[in-house]
Amino acid sequence: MIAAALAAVLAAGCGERYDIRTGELTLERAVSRAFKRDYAAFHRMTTGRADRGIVRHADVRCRPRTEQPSDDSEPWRWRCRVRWYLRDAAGPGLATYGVAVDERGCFQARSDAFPDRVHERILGRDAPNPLVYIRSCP
Amino acid sequence: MAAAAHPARRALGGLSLAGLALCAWVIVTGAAYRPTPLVPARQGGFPLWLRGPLGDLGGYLPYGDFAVWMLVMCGVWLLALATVPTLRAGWTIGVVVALHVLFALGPPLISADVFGYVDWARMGVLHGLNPYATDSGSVVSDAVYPFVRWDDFASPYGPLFTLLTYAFVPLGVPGALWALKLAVLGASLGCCALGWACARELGRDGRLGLVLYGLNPAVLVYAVGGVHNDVLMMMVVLTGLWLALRGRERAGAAAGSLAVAVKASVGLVVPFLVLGARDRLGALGAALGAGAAVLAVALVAFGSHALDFVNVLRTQQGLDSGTSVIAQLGAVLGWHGNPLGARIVASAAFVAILGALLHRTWHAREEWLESAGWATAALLACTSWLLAWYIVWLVPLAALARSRALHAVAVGFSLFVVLTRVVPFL
Repeated sequence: MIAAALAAVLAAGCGERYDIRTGELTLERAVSRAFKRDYAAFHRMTTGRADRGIVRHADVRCRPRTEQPSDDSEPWRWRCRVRWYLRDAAGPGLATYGVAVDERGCFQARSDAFPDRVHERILGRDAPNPLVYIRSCP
Repeated sequence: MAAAAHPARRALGGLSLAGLALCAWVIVTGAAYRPTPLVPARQGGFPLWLRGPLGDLGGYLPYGDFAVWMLVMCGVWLLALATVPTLRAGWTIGVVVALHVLFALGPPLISADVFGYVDWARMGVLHGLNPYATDSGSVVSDAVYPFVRWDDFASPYGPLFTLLTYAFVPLGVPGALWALKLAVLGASLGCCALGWACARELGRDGRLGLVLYGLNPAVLVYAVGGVHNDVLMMMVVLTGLWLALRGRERAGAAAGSLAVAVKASVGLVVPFLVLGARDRLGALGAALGAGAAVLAVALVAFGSHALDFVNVLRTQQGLDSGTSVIAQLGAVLGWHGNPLGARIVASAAFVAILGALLHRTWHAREEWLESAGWATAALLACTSWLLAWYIVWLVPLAALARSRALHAVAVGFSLFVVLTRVVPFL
């Protein structure tokens, strides 16, 4: 009985594997969500006020720069363009991110469209700009 | 016939334990395998220290599949409850410990609250900010920020808990997470042990409490898997109950006050600890004395903001959770969410029930434990802010009750908090 239970547990543990790291739509949605969150972080950092809805919409278009690497330890390179609209501003903002997707579909995105450091109001000192380096998962 | 039925029931009991282990394994390893909504903290990344060591042993588990496994887990748990008299104590304890360790090894499930705990601790220790006067997520440049999900209220937790989290700050964010996991694991196993010890003091079979709490899917997935401090609070209050049952009623009442200093929600139990004492004045004095000592420490550590956590809790109770009993009743009675009228009726009902239970305990001291359980059940039924892990407020108390009705209510609430969260995803 114990052996049967153990076998069942182990068999269930070897469930469906998921070898494709990401797809365009998955990555675009994930980058959009992460960008909105990090823009809200940037806003909070510089103004001291929390406002989760400051970015009304972030339209993201992503394209792979290479094929998915066969080696899991190698990042899969993408490029994503973000066009965002603030709730209280008319025109869009634009930024391009170089994106590295890991074997679990999580990504690290970097952009040089923003200053590296900004003033963090609550601590009264400069700190890394959260819009320069974004890390998240779908 | 009975002799023939007994081995069959025993086999069913063994099967239920194996089934619980299977469900737990699939859920934990699946949550650790790929980032999915099962782990809300994945928004900050999915590093090894977050997903735990089991990530390569599982398979892909989307939320819909998780919902199915939760239902299966609830089913086998009901089977385990039905076969409690046939379960071997040693086997049951072994499975309880194994499942607790399994959930502690996985990523934080269904909630990122644990990073809120770490966030406030780091604010206090590293940035000189008062957790009772600063909203979570205020320090964007801090390493914990990407994992924090709240940004609009100060710490609602008691000063003892906050001071405990301060001690974990030197370990860094990953170290603090694992220290809190260990604390919650130890506390939940402590709740199991204390429940067993209390049952022995009451002359009852400890296996019912062990299965009701220690193998409860809602407790394992949401409270232990979610690394919630409610478990720490319950361990302290169960220590108080155990002390009271052993005749050390003053120490028991003092422990009740200490539990409030972990999280104020458990304050509901303290009046029953006092009213249940043979020397009520002595117990009241001990509870007030412990409360005063904690207050003094809190004032030194956090200044005049130290008591704000009680107000924040009140604010939270004004929030609107779609999974509360009130909101779910709305689906039948025709309202959406927790409308003001329904809240007022629910609050009035809770006050009336609490008053009746206190009155009963005032006149019948021996009813204190049952009454505390019923009062907690009434609170969960009447609040507009019911989170799944609040189930740990009720289950350990209900497990110690004589009343089969209270056992049934605890089982019903456990199923309720699971079903309201998983059925929409099926």
